[in-house]
Amino acid sequence: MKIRFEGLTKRFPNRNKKIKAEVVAVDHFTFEIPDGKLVGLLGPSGCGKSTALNLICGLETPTEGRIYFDDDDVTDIPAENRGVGMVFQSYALYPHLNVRKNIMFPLQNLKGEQKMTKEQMEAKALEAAKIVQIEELMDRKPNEMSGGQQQRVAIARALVKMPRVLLLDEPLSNLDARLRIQTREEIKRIQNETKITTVFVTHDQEEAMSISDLIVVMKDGAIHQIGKPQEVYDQPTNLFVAKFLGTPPINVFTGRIEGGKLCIGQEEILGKDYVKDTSDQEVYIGIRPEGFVLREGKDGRLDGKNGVFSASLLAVEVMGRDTSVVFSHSMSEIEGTRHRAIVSSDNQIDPESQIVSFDLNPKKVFVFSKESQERLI
Amino acid sequence: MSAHVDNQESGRSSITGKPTYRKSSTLTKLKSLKAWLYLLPALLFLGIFMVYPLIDVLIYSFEEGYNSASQTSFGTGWFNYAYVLHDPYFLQAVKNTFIIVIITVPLSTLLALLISLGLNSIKKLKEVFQTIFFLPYVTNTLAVGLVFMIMFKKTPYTDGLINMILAVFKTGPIDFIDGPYWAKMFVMCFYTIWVVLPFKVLILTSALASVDEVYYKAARIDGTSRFRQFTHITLPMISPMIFYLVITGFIGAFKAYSDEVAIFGTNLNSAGMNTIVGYVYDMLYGDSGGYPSYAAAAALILFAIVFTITVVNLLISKKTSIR
Amino acid sequence: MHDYGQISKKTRTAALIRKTITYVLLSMWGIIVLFPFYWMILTSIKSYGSYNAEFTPRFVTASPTLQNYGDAFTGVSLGRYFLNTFLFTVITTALMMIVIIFAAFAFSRLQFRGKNLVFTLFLSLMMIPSELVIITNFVTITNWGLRNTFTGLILPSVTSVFYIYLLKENFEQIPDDLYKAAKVDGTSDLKYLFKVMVPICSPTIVTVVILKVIECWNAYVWPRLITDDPKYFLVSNGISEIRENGFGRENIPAMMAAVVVISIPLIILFLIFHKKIMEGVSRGGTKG
Repeated sequence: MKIRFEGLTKRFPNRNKKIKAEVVAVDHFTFEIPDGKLVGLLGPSGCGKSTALNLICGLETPTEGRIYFDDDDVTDIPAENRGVGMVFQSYALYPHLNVRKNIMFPLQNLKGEQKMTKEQMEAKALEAAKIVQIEELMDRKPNEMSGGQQQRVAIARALVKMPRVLLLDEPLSNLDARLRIQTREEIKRIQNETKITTVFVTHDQEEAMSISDLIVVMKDGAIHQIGKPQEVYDQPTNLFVAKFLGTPPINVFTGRIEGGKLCIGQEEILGKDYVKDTSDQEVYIGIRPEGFVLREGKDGRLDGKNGVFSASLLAVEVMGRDTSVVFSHSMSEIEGTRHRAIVSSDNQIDPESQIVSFDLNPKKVFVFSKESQERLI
Repeated sequence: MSAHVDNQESGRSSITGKPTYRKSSTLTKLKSLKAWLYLLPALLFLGIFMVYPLIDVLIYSFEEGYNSASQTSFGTGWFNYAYVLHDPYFLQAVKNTFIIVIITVPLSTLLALLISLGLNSIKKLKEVFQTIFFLPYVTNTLAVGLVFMIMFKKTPYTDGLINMILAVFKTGPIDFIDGPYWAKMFVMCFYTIWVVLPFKVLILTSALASVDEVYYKAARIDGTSRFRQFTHITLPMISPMIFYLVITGFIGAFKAYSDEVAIFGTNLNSAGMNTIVGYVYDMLYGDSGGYPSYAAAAALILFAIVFTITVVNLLISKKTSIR
Repeated sequence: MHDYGQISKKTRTAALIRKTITYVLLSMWGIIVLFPFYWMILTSIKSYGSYNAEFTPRFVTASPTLQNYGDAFTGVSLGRYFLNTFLFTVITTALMMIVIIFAAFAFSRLQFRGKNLVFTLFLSLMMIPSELVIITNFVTITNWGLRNTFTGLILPSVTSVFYIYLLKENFEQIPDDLYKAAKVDGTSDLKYLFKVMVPICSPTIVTVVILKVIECWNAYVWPRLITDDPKYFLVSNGISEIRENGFGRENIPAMMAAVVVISIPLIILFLIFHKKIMEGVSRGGTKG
């Protein structure tokens, strides 16, 4: 099922009662979530992504705008009639019921023609439990299970009534690092199997990048970019998106465009074929860690002594396949930032050396207007 | 100074490798003495007014024909218990107490639950209602009991307020204070509920508020009806508090006394509205007083009843919470 | 499959109806709670004559009078009952606070032999109903010749196992390091108790004080047993006395005036501290 937003807006009164101005949690959303996709709402905390999720499921009503499920306007429909399944951040498993009863709970609410016999319900519950692979735990109580298992029960409970939309609020935030990777693959697999349109909310860009078909980057209630993860990573529309995605984070420097050339400090890092006809101005230059390349010297060594971009070397950290080169630069956007470049471990950089120089991969270099922070190149 | 500090911590400092000192036994003794000194007032008062009476009351209850003037008795045995159990006043008191318990405990708990559910579902005026509902808790039961008495009482000069209202429904007039037994019992139960409700409402309102909102959100998304939300989520989650209220409610209702005095005056026997506790006090002191042995026996019988009911309650609550 | 328009309309109507019913029912109980207070005040300002002339009680009065309040203070020794209760409440509460603060401190901070055993015995005392021990206490106080004295009234109620327990739990939440730091600085136990622990735990202490004040102000059973001289009556006994013997004649308006006067201090206290009182009671109070 498609979900479409038209000018969706949600304003809250300010929590600090002395401030009259309202807080805009969701600001004029207009976009469409395609059928059967896994969509990640990504943004820092307080950006309104959870509010957006609550608007979809009907726990909040919008101040303005409409929400459509396919062609049905569901804006004024209460949550119970929307046919959505939701997994809460804290799972919200009923502590006094065992797994089977928790999963059966939504089915017992069905009325009229949809009403099921106990056997049917048990069969459905087992089916849902099998999808998330917890069928051996059916008689346990929530507090007798690990966080990961509880998460699966919560997903099974959301899936059991065959929802039209599955919503997950920070599904991985209560799990430890190892379980997180396992569970996010699990979510991807379940979504693939069931083909239910799934929306999840997260503040962790790695999580969103790794499993989403589509990610929506949000900040302060506004959408900054929508696209496939790789697209958003490779073609950020503004400085915020560029900074928010990627680990290690993008390296940002202040620089300028001067006579068709891109300069940082005294160094001219990219030429006319990159800048084309962008007018002269002050800019922010973002370079992904993998955008730094070592140029072979005359002796054929990759020793970081040749290149268009020079910086003060701080450390060289060898991590198996890759090496991370830590450096600082006088033109950093934020003074004193420890920048990182990721290069292949074939390098021969001398850790004792004071200076390191790189060539740059133009595809990994983004230029943003200093004023609007929008992407220029 | 530093030696003194280390000394206090000698156990721990041996782990950290600092020099350790042997615990000075005089210092330990001194500290122990000081602790007992802090406890002394409490121990003294509790010893005299709780522990000793506890033993004493048992002795009283088995001393036959105790004479408080000469402080002598004929011997020991079960006579006091037998006397009390055959005393029609006591049997009347037991009957009254049980009726009050059976009516007021379930009714007040149920009413409190309804009121707190209502309170929890509103936002506007919630605090105003809460404050009003709590008011009876801080008022003197004897004083307000007098007001109730006047509202219900029928005198030669006036039928009273309640009878005026009843007249609208073409019933009455009924003398609720000196009239038929069931009318008196009605006033008694009504007043008891009026008095005990604030505490129960308060406890249940905070219990309801402590149920995590997320469960209701999850239930709503799953299309759970309000009734089912109540029976399958709210009730199980607040059941410990309900059991707590039922148990304390039973204990409190079995000890009913001052509410009765408030409505019917000190001579409860003649009003036929005496309670077990009232019987104990009457035996101890007052017009028919001077029999601490009978009082002791009656008090112990009451204690046995309350104890049994509390144990039964606890067993039931354990059983249900396991299920 | 869904008729969405109808669903949204239905839910809105249902919510409105539910809300209205809730408010109506809550208001009804509010009236039941408040009405006795209204009736008490109303009756207290009706004149003796006009009250007795009303065969059908009236809900308002045309000629309010304060005469009854004068009668209440002159006809019976209401002023004395009031003063007695005030003294009884203040002294009992103050003494109890000292006793329980010391005891809670000993249990929570000090180390001594047999601490656990003594504390377990303490806890088991919580189960003992006051009705059991009051018999002997009555005899004890009588034998000590303390009937009709303040000492006799006060002594049995200056300890409470429950409040010691409540305070001890609270004291134990104060980090150990604070005590150690104070010791290193050479602070005496007593100074630490009153300069550090008591201020930190002041919310609980205020709660206990409030609960004890309410309990004292409404005390009835023990005062009734131990005093038969009206000079030592507390307000509850005063009310009982007024009820039995009245003002020479059955003067209900004056009776109500007395009831108003007696109820007012706690109601004012409640209106000022209602948040604190309700919080305190829900944390650890029981009636009586």
